[in-house]
Amino acid sequence: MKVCFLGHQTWLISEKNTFILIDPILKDQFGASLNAGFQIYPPRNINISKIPKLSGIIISHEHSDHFDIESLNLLSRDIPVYLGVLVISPVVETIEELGFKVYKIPSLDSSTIEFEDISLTLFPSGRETAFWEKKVNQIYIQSKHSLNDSLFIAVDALISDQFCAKVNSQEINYPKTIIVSNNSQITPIGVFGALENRKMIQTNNPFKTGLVGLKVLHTILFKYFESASLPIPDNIIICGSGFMKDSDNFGPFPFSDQDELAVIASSLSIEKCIKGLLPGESVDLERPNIIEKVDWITLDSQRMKMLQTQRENFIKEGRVLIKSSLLPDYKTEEEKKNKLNFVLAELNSMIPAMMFWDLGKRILSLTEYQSKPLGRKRFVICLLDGPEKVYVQIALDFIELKFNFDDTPQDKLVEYFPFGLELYYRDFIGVATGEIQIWDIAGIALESWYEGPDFEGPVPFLYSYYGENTSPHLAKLAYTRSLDNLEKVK
Amino acid sequence: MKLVFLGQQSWLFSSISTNILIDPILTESFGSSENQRFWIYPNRKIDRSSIPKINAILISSEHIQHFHLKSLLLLDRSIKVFIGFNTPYFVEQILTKYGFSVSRLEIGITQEIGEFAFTFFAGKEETIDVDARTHSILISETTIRKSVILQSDTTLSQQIINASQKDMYLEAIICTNNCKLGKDGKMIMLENILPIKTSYISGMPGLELLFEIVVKNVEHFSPTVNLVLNGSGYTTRKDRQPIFKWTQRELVNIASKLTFSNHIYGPCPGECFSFDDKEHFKIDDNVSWISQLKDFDLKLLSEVNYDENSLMPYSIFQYNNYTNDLTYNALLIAIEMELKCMSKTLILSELGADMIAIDEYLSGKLSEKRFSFQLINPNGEDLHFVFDISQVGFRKVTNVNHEAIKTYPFGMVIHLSDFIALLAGKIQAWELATAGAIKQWHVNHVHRSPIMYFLRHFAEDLKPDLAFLTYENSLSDGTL
Repeated sequence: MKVCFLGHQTWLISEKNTFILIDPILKDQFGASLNAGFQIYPPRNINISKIPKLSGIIISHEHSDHFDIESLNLLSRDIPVYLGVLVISPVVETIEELGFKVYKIPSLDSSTIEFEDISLTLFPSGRETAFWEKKVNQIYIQSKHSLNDSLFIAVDALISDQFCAKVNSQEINYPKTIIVSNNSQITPIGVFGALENRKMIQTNNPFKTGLVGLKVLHTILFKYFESASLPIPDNIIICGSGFMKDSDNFGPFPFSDQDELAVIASSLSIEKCIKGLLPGESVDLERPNIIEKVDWITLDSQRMKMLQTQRENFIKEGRVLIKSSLLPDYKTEEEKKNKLNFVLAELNSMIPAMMFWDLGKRILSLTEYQSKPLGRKRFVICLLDGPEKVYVQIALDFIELKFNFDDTPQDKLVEYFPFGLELYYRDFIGVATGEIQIWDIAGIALESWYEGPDFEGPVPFLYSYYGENTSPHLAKLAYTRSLDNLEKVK
Repeated sequence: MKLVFLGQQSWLFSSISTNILIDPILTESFGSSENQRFWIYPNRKIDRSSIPKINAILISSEHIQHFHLKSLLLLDRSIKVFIGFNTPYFVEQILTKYGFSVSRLEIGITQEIGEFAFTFFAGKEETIDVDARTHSILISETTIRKSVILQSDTTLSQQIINASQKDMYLEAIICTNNCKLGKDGKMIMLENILPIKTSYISGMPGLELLFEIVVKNVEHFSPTVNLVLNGSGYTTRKDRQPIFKWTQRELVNIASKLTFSNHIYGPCPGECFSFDDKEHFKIDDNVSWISQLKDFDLKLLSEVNYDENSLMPYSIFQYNNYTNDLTYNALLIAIEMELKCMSKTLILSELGADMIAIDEYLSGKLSEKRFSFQLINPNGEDLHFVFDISQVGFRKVTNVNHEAIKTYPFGMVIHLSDFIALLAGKIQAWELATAGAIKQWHVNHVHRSPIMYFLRHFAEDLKPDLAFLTYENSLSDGTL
């Protein structure tokens, strides 16, 4: 079986006459909103017409770095598309609208998808996976010609408990090769990362201090398997973080050049082969040390070098990125003011869901903050209309469970509120009405502070609440826009 | 200090010149509706004219077993009511509306009234969500520097443990036994109608219960601290026979045989304890104004509420004949609107996470539909909805009622009339569940089960307007 890397998390798996494309991103950028395009890194060009004849397309989950309408549009409609049973309906509807036949596959062993030379099984994500990645399907691929030739694509979620159970009961062979993802998306010192906590000063920020890159490797290559009580496989292929959110400034994420990380990791291990492929590179799983190249994918090495230099300079010069809004501000003050009631109502309607989620539970159970008893107001949302310029500030009254306008001075916010969120007023309205997706502003126009673990703060709550799996109607709007745009381009 | 037990979790604390009531239920029963009463058990009657003059009322929690508006309205409005900081706003709002003045006490801040000083504390972080706003209270008699902890429905936090050990002598802890095990060995409120054994009721629930409420509470304190059990002090049966497996007294008799040093008590209503500067905590004479009821009206015995073994929920509210289509259609819209609200809380709840994580069930392959919600209507069409994870919404289905439990791994069954009563503010979700009017099945932990989700969704703090309305409505019927 061969594995060819197309960039970020797109794979072409092949065995004899069978070619399966996984999570196709084929253009040089992706994104479900027209205002936000994420460029693929390392940059590459794919000659679509030369992709071998496909037997099937698998889409592991709904996120726009795995499900890309524009890429699917480039493929022949007679290729069947396979999805997990829990995928939100707008994804299915959209693919069908493009003209494909869609098969929803229950994640069970008995629901194996059979191709001529391989069989493929979808496994649900591990139980403790973060909410917004819970519907990720992990893909187990077995060659029909050799029992030892198998692959597990275990990206974006914790390892499936069901997969572990089947390995432990020896119902399936533990694959020699597993693909894991490095989703660390570490940003340079001057760029506030998506899950970072404003309360952490430079000296104790776990995303910025110590051996950040080593911690990433330890997490994805060691802890990932240890927490599932699985042995470290013989061969690991690293992928992920293969895009740029901010190509004009720092460019590619630090510690996301998987090829370099793999070389380092290999030198720290014994008898393990760790690979990070560049787009266009391919390995035969029987001989994972030998890297081949396909002729229909060309790596833009020159631009790749340039982007790396740009990132190095950004870090060396100690540059700081001031967050700017993704959507342009309202034209008139009046238009802007008219949206205030909508914003307040939107936040208030969010409360029940929030109280069911980790953030609400923590707001509820916290009794003191910075050694002082807590007041009624525990969570503040600052909506900006310029860099560091608050247009309106809204705080949650914990006794009434209502959001109200608030006037706590800006320099007292972190001291007073245990939880806080800062984003642009215009962007918030854009997310709430489906103009843009929450992912579009994550990491570039969204900041927070919080108590408790980094996966339970205000930003992960927004991911969960406005993400596809709770708000499929918003995803539907984004997909409809993409489809309309395809029509226009035509 | 003299402590008089009024039943359930109600107490009167008296000193020489000061009397304070805690979570008072003064009537023979409590509940939002006359259709479903919760009779105090062991049954008792309070001669309210003989209650001493009250100086303050303390409310530990917003739940109806603690915050019983009807009982409070039997008292003089000039009595000051104290609530803990985390209490939802509607409690303050409705008490103010009916003429009380309410003080919200900050966590850890001590208030003095006469010889008494009391402090509200929040529970530990791991307290379940529906009880997260409940307070434990430390009450002391300042002149003799002796105190009592009232646990209420939360776990004791380190803060209250520390405070109780600061230059005061802790005489007793009044701990809560909220065991939900019924007479028949099934769970009250949370029974799973799937015939699978859960650890909660298979192993040794009594031993686990005592360990939880006695051993764990005591280990932070002096080995001689006295323990008083209260809670689960009501019955939903019209014949007022007990519904819970063990009375406090039965548990206490067992626990007392298993200790050298601790004194453990399980009082009946009307029983008293006292201590002063010389004497330690001891049983005192019963008060005369609380009489235990022993003789029931025999004809009530034939009216046992429901068949406890039934898989069908008990129905509390009568069906209207929905002859007027307009009314019925309006109801349907109200129900569908509520289900829409439920979709978002459900998908983000622990139950939602378990629904996503499961991959097989009795029927083999699972589709994207994993939670069944049935509203039974003997006078017309049953309404059956299923929750679709792919659409994050409830969808109406037809003709699968009897197969539902085999098809969907999670489900709830409730009478249409009772669900409408809930939405209309005639009854609370906790009351429906406790009275057996909601049945559920599930394949996850009972703390993450459909009814636990449902109780949280309809909890007073998340639906303050509905809670307010339900309390208002509870005043309009004549039951005392």
